[in-house]
Amino acid sequence: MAIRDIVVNPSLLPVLSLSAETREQCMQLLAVLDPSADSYSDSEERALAASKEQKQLFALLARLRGLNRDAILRVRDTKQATAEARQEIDRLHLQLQNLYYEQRHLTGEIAACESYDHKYLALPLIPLEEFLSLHPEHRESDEHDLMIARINHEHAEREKLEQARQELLKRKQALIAENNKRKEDLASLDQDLERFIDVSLCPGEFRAMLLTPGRPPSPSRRSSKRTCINSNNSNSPPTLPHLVLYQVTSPSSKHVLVMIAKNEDLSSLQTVDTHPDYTMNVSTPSPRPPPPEKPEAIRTRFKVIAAFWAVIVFLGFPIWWKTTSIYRASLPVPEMIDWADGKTCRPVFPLKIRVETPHLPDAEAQHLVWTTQHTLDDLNEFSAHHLRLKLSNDNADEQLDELADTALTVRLLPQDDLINPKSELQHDTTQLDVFYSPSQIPPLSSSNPPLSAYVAGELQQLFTEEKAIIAQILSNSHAASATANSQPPSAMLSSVSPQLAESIAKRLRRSMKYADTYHLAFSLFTPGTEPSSWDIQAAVHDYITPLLQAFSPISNFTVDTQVQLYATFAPTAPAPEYDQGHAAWTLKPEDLSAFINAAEWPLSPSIGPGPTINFILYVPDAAQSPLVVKDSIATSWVVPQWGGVVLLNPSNGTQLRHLSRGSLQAPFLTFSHQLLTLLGAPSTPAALPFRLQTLTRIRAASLLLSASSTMGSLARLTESLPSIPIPATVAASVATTLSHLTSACEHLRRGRFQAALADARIAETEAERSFFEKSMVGQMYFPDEHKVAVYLPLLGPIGVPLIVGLLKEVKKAIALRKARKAN
Amino acid sequence: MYSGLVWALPFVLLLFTISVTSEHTSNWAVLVSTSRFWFNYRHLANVLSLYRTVKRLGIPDSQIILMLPDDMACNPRNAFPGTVYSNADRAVDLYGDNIEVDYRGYEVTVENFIRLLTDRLDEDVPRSKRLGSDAGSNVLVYMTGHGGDQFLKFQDSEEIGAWDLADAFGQMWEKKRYHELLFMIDTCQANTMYTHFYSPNIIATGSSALDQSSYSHHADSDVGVAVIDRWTYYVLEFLETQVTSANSKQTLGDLFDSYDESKIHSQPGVRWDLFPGGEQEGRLRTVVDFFGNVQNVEVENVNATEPGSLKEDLIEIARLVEKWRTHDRDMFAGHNDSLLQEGATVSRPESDMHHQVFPHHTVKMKVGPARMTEESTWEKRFIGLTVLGACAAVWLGGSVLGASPA
Repeated sequence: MAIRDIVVNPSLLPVLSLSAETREQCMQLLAVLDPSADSYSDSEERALAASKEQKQLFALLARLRGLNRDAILRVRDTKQATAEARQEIDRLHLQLQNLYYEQRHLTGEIAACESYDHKYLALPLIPLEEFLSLHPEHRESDEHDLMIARINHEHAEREKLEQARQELLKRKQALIAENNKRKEDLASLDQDLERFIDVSLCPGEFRAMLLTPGRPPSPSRRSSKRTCINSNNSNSPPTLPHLVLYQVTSPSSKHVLVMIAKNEDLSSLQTVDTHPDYTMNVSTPSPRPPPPEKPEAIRTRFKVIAAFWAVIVFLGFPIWWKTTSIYRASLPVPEMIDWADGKTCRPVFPLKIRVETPHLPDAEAQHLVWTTQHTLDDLNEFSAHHLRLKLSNDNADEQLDELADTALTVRLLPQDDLINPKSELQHDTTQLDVFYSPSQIPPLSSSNPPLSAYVAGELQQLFTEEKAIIAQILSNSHAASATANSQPPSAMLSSVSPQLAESIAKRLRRSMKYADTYHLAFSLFTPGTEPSSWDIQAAVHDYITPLLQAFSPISNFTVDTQVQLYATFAPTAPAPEYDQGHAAWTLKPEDLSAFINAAEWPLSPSIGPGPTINFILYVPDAAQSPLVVKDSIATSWVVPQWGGVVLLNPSNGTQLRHLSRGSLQAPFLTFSHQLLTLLGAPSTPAALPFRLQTLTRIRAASLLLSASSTMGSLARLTESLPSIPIPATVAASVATTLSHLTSACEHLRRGRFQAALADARIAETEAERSFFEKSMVGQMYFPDEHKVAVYLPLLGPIGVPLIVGLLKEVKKAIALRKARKAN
Repeated sequence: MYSGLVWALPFVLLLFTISVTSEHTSNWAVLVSTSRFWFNYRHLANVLSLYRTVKRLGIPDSQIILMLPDDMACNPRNAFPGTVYSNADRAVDLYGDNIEVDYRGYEVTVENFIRLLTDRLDEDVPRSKRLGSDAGSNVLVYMTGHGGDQFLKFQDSEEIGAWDLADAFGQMWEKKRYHELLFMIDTCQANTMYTHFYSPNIIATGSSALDQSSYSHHADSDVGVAVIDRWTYYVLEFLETQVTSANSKQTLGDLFDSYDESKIHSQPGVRWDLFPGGEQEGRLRTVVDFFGNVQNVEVENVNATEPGSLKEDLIEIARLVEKWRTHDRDMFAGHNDSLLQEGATVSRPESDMHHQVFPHHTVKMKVGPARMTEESTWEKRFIGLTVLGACAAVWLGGSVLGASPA
């Protein structure tokens, strides 16, 4: 197809023609340039023609380009115009669609509105015709007004009906109430009738009254039949039920029966109105009082409350009392305090001294004794402790009796060639031998012979320490009450020499506390392996038993022994030093307290009551032997209140495998001495029997006082701690103690010191037992707040109803009594 | 006769009693920790530190009552088994090799403590568990634990009130169980514990006033808990640095003056009014009067000749022994004769041998089965049978009577 057929737009036609012309020109130019077609002779011509043709072609091409540009511009314009037009069309199309949707929505809404099911369409109204016949004036009005009118009409009608319904309902309620009341009345009527019948069966006790107010009912009574029933007949017994029957006859011959039953006080008032239209109204809506309690019920309640209270009072209270009270046996407190204050017993020590005068005539001997006694009394300033001289007579019976209690026997022996009398204390008995020259026998006339003075002085001298010790014991025990007491034991002390006072104080410091039983523990310690055995049984028997035998009236003893090898000193203890001067190893006296390795040496106290007295025999190592205390070269020392230590250095420097009885003699005699010291024996005079006798007296005194003071302590304790329990055993112990104290005191007064000591020992043991009674401990103190805190939550919830119940019953009982009195 | 002396008496007496009572003859220490469980490590460390101190100053174990309610050394939580330390430097093992605990674990109760003080213990309680003090004993009582206003807890289950403690001390005084008493307590509100004391010769000191806590000093992070309380720490510091030997002259006044509230973080208290002479006299008491042990060893000089000395006694005792021996021999001779007479019927050669070898009596102990009680068993059986029979009769009678109406 040719291009001319395609391009038909007239505006493009010049372009086509011009392009054809240009093509033509191109052809010409090509022809010109074609060398084969030799139309032009020379090349210059040809070139000229060609340039001419070329210029023309260029012009044509320029025009063609211009046309092409125009065409493009025009196409662009056309395209823009086309786009704008399309936009416009789109917008319009959209608008159109919107409208269409709106239209469809509206039509839908309209349809919904038209099909809406409103309530008023279904209102249960009376039919239109009926309404119109009722209200013809609405016949002309339009539908809307008609509807409103119809609705209003309906509303009014309905309100009217509702009101009527309410009234009917009310009436129905009233009727039901009335019915109920009648029913009740009828029910009680049955009961009352029964009772009435019962009562009427026993005439004389009852009175029934039947009132019939007039046979023909008067018109004036018709409107209001208010009946007031007064029934309290003063002459009828108040407790009897009183019955009143009242019959009312209404004009419509309706009978209303009103019955009132009453007990003692009145009175119920009832009003009945009878309406002509048979509706009834209760005009007095006051609550009816509860039916009166039956007497059985009252009695039962009283019994219940009484039962509860009976359980509490007769069971609960005694149990509480029994379980919470503390048993306190009664103690003779004033008596105990008197003992402690020394008011009951003033210990006295009348020492009996027998004077034997085998070589003197009786009269002279009597005189000598008398004057000596006189001198003694003058010398003595401590009244509690005094010496009683007695001339021994040959009455065998009396002698036997008295020998045991005689403190000292003085034998007067004549000896020639003596200028001054001299005395000698026997070592194995308590006997003082006084030697005098026969010329010194005082004449019967002399009042103060030198021999008497001498004997008195000697005796005084012998008993100085004993007196001082006893005075000290007495003064100590009465330290508290001494200012009020006229007893002057300490007066004696003022005359004591300082040396003696020091010795007494020392004795007090080192002697063991008194105990009924002492355990003696003998221990052999050695740093190495030897000696590993000793003849302990024989040694104890030989050297300790005699002393223990002598002590047996005072205390009991048990003996334990042990051997400990490899017993080294404590690491902190200073080691012994070698002293060239004495060729011995020495311990410093101040280091001796660290000698005993208390941590490692098994010196624990013995099992059983009573303290332990330790005796340590230390055999030093051969390399450190002999071992002595520095300066004094002593080999033994006493540890106060604990025991004694003896260093045993083997004699020839060789170590012994076995300690024989012989080698143990010295140490065990030393132990005996230490035991004597530790038990508090006085140091003077030299004779051992005498010292032991003295110790007996001292112990008797100290035990007596200590038991007395324990009694006082116990008495004060029971008074100051009211919550501490005191079991019966304590009371028994106290009684035993007091009786033994009394007898001990009596024995002392008679000078029977052995018996006194025995009694005092029992008294002391019992006193200790009573004070240290095991059950006298407990949580002794409870603050009152604690008690409240314990009891309140427990007893509160139980107590309140019980107490309230009791109060109510009491109130009722009082009211009843008053009422009875009033009647 | 001595009426003139009556007037001079009180003065003389006073002089004498003062000279006698101003010194004591023994020392006792009661050291009590009252709390249990690992977190109260420090209370046991407090007590053990005090224990070490009094032991160092010479009180023997037999006179120290140590009450430890728990065993920290063997506690499984203890990172250093078998030891207790009171300082984070762990220089001194308080448990050591020699420790004698008298009351341990659940034995540490209020009742036992009061029984200990008043000695109301069973007869079979060993003497190591008893406070054997007497009228000449100075007693140190140290307590530590958790406390409050006028009470101190024991073992988380009970507590001792200040009244009970005061009454216990009152009873001790009544029975002359102490000469002077130093009461120390380290607990919260400690000073309230001694407010009710009424018996004389007591000096009391506590770590903190009413409504104050008593704090621990420091903790050891390896042990994991606090190891000592502040007040005890500074008391110990004083005792360790100032009271170096049993002869120390440091007084209680010095000790109490060393209290530094800024270090202790609470107000320590001291009560003097029960002490005769009050604060003035009390301050003069040396620390070792309570923490040390009085022990004046008496060396027996061989050459001394004063009455009661060793030499003189030895002669006397030798004499006694000699007398005893002769007496014994006579007795033995008599005894032997009778034995020989017996031997006519029954030959007892070995007994003769025995007597020849040991010329003294050998103590023959008869050891046989011992009857535990005095009551006869038949009597008891009879009573039991009677009771059973009575019960059966009651039951039978009841069933017969109960069945008859039905």
